[in-house]
Amino acid sequence: MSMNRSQAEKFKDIHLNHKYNLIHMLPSTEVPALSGFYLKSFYNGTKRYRLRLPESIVEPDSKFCGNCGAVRIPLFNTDMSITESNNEATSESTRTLQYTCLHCKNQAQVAPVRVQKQTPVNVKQSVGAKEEEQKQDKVNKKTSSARERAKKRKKSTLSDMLSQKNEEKKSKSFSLSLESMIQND
Amino acid sequence: MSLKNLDKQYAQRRQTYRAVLDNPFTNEGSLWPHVKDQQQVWELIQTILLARCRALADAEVPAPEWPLGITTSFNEIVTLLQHENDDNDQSNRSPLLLLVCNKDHGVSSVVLQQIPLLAYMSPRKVTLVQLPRGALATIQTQLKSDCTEGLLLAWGDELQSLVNQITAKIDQPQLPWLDQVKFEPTALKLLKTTAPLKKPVEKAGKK
Repeated sequence: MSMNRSQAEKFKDIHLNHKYNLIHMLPSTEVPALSGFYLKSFYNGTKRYRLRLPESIVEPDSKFCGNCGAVRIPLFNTDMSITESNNEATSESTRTLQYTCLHCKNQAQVAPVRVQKQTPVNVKQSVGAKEEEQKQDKVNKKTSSARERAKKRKKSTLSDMLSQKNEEKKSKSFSLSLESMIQND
Repeated sequence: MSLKNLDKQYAQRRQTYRAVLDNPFTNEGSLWPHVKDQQQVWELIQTILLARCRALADAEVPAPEWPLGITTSFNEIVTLLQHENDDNDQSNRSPLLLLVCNKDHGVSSVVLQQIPLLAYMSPRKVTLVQLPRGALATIQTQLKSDCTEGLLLAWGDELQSLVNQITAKIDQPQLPWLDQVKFEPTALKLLKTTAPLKKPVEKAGKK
């Protein structure tokens, strides 16, 4: 038995809504241990339909605890506070939002912000997913010049990527044809 | 990747937003309460709250003697919203006004993500107001402080009328999934009984 297109879409909506609601229902059922399971099931559902969820949901450790999968609710299962840690080498301090899951006692740091001590107004902003990138950047080079960043940005535009790909294709096909000719000879 | 492919992705993406976010149970589409007359509300806040703070700061009145309380510190705001009865602080009974610059550049949306839930879950009555774009700069100049998280909590009895006016212009937040986990104090009652004043004398006599 197969559904037509609108039926399939309707089913998809109901299916996902149901799974999503289940995740939010769990904290009140006093079985928070199941939340990881239901979260995984919801993610699998979205994967099956090839849907891209908004960042606020998918972002690791922000809406759901990264360890046990419980949906974060302040004053109920989550403590949150802004913590500051000093980095003596660069004379900067990093402010991060720290979530503590009261269910599994897992601590997670999100949204690190580097604050320079001399000028507290000058704040560099970055968001959770870039956290690791930043750490690597710190190790590799402490300051990246504006010009380099501009270069990177230019390279990553869509049209550039397209043209690059096209060029690759051309060169490939060219070399292939050459080879084939040689082989033929 | 072709343009057609991109279009397809975009369409799928929008569909998801509708299905998952506009769901009446979790209601994430309207997490931030809608402000009906944004311009007027912002002007009210500027003239009544911010101008007053500026005047107090200019007159160099020390912070503890201010007739209204104000804080921009994230941690302080969280603890204030957390406790129902903290001491005999005057902030205890007065209305709370939580201003959020969630549309401004330089304010992390990840940090603010849980704020609507926090306001909803708080045992105290909090009026959450999202400010228009550009409000952060005004707050920073008026309060002369870097309000890094884009949050401002104000309380005090003299804000009552302001809070009432603003509340009338804001949709009440509806998050049904939180209603079941909200803390409700147990209805404890005391029973009036009597107890004898004197201790029985017989015991002492026996020994």
